[in-house]
Amino acid sequence: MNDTILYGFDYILYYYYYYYNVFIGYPLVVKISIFIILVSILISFILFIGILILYMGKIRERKILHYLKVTYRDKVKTIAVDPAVHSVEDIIVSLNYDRKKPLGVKQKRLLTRLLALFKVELSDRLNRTNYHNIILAFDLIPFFEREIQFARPRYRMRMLMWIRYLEESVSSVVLTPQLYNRNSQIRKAAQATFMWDSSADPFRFFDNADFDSNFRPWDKIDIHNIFENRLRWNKNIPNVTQWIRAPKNEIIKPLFACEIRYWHKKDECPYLLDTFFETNDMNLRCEIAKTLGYMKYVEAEQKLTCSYTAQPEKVKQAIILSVTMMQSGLSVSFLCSAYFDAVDISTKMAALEGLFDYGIQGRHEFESLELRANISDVILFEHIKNPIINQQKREIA
Amino acid sequence: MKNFIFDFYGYFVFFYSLLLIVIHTLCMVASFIAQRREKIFFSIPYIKKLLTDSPYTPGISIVVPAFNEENSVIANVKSMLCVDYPKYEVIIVNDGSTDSTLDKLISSFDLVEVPFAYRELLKSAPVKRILKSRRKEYSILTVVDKENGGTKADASNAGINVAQYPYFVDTDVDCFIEPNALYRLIWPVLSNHKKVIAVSAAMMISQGSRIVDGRMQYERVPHSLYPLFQELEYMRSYLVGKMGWASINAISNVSGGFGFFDREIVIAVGGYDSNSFAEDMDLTIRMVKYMRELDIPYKIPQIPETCCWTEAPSNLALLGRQRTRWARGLIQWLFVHHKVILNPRYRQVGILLMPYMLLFEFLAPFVEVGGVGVFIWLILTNSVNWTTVWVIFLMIYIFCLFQSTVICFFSYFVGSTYRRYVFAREGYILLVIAAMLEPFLYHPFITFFSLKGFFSYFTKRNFKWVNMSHKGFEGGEENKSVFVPAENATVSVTMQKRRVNDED
Repeated sequence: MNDTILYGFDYILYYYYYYYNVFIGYPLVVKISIFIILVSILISFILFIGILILYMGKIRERKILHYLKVTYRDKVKTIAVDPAVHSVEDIIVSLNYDRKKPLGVKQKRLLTRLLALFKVELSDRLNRTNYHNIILAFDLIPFFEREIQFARPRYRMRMLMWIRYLEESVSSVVLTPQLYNRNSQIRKAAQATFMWDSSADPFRFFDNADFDSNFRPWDKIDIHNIFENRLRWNKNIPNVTQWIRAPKNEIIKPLFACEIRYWHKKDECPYLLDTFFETNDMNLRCEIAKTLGYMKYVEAEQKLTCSYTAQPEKVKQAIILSVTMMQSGLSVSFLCSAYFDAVDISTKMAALEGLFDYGIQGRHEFESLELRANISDVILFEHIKNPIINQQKREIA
Repeated sequence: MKNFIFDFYGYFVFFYSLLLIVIHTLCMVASFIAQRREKIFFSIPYIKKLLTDSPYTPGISIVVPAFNEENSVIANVKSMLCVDYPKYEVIIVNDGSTDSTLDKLISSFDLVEVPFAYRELLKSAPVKRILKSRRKEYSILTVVDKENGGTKADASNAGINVAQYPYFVDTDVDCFIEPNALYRLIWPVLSNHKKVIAVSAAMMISQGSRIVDGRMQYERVPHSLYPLFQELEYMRSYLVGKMGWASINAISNVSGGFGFFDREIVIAVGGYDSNSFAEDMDLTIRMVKYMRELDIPYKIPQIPETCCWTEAPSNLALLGRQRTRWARGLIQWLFVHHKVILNPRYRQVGILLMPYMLLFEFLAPFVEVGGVGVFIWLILTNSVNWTTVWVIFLMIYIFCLFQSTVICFFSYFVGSTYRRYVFAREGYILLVIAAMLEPFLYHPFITFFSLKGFFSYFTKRNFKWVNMSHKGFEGGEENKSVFVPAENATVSVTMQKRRVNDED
């Protein structure tokens, strides 16, 4: 017998062909079963390794966080709440931060998170200048820019959010490529960050077809926050009337009518009134009516009440609310007739609520109507009068 | 002929299992992709900050039917009042309780009857009165006292009638809602271009967890047998099944235990059906049909993070009762909505989901029992090919274990607090052990209860709704969830004997 001794790769190859031939000889059912068993075991093993890696990563993260807390927390907090302004250089010295040996990417990510946490904790006592200087002392702005440009989508997205959360800003040059990112979520976040701070035609996206077609309810909240922030930092917000009629998206039109209301742009009321009669969008009409009422544009009162009967129920309720907010004293009879003519119980209640809140005159009429009310309507009067039910309503308003 | 039948059955069962494995694998892949995407774009602090300050924040009503829940109602309502969201209300519907549920609510929250203009938009048993609290801190609480309607659906409908916000969460009194749950639920609604008509959220078993001051202090895997198996089942269902189906927008069920709905659509489809044994499944499919028939693009997403903890049936009798009802609900659901099956008008729901439910949810117990029967017959006739049998059994068993590894990974990946105990007794190790035992100690019972449910449906046995009385977040033992009330931070150990109501 001349036995061949196998070494190294030949050995593996031999067993590979051996098991391959055994496997080939099995019936189909057994072949499939063995295949599934092997794949399941292999993937389970990979997942186990995955959990282990995630676990180790978490431990490492916890260690870094602990290090950052121990080293910087107290000092950062003291500086952040100090009413006296600390310069960047002073802060570097106080924190004992060596800029020649800066923190790593992971450490800076966690530091950003930690600073955001401090911002929430210290909210009222925070000295904005010192807080900004702390961020400069840690050299975080270049880090933010680097993350936005080169990090993975997850971190890129997070950073775009953190910047607004920390009320910081980055160079427009860094943001520009992201404004046209393929990923719509990143694109939107970048556009929001750009609008939030930039002065170079920041609201140009409102004219894009993409803005219209990809608009989400969340964008409403985002845009309101952007306007709010710009006003807080003494930056202008645009005249939004230009975008009221143009978009096709049903959420956008009422949004701009609402924004006019929140920012008290009373000059735009005549335009809104014209739009009220020209648009077919019911939601837009509702919001315009409320806006006109909120801004006490009494010139619109008669026109709105005259158009009342031709409107759908939802718009009718908005007109009642609008007239109530105007408090001109001229609409008691309108509210009474709205109550008598209402076919929808919500409209009826809106008319009664309007009367109840319409000064002494309205309250007097409300009481007299209550005395004459039929049995099914008595509960409506009681509902509106009840202070406990109203308490929640007032809180909601 | 006999051999042919057995061969045919053998191959049928094999390829049936194979198809199921393929579907589950696809669900796992789809779920993983969806979870990664969710992880990228969801940031709680940022969302919280914007929603807290915004006038556009949509309000949410939490509707909670309660029937004879005197043991748990106060602690649970308090935990619901601790939820973190700027605009929400809690509506407790006392469904004609015969115990002191209502009295306890009245005394604890200083409730008084108010002249509420109740509008019956959805059908329910008559409402006797509506109560609100005189205390400002409970102004978001409304209690609806109604006559017993016999079903949870009836009570939920009454709650929806009173709700004043555009969205509502339907849940149970035995549920603890995670404080950030409403932010998680509203995010898919706000971040989608399509109309989100409902959101399904992951639920976990509360036995084993500890809740202090309305907040979850720690969540641990239940240590008792049946809740542990149910935990595994819930995780598999939410993290793999529903996440997978949701990725093609074909979710079968937004759970009545904790489901988020668009109130307007729910009212348009007539609310919950009191005659249905699976009222949540029935409502979901009716909402889908409504949207498809009106050709309105819609979405029903699934959230992988745990938003709610619920008390699971802790013994076989209660579990059996629950599963029998679910089985009856499933078959009733398939009968009522049989026109959706393979109907291209309902797209993925008609073409994929409904046939799946029919083949793999309804038929599975029959196939399993048939398989056992054939196997026994083959043993008796000494015609078993043992090598093949072992390989096939091993394949099924290994795949079950593989699925459990996947859910542990997913759970860790989405950031479940079990990951604190990753290698401890309280964490995933227990779940893996449960997964090893499940096919022998749990699954046969579930199959039996399903068949029992089908049988009782076909034989039209009288079926009454019963109260699954709960212990609530009380007790101090390891296998019970613990609730420590806000004003009294000591653990109250009141082991109430569970009352088991007869089914028939």
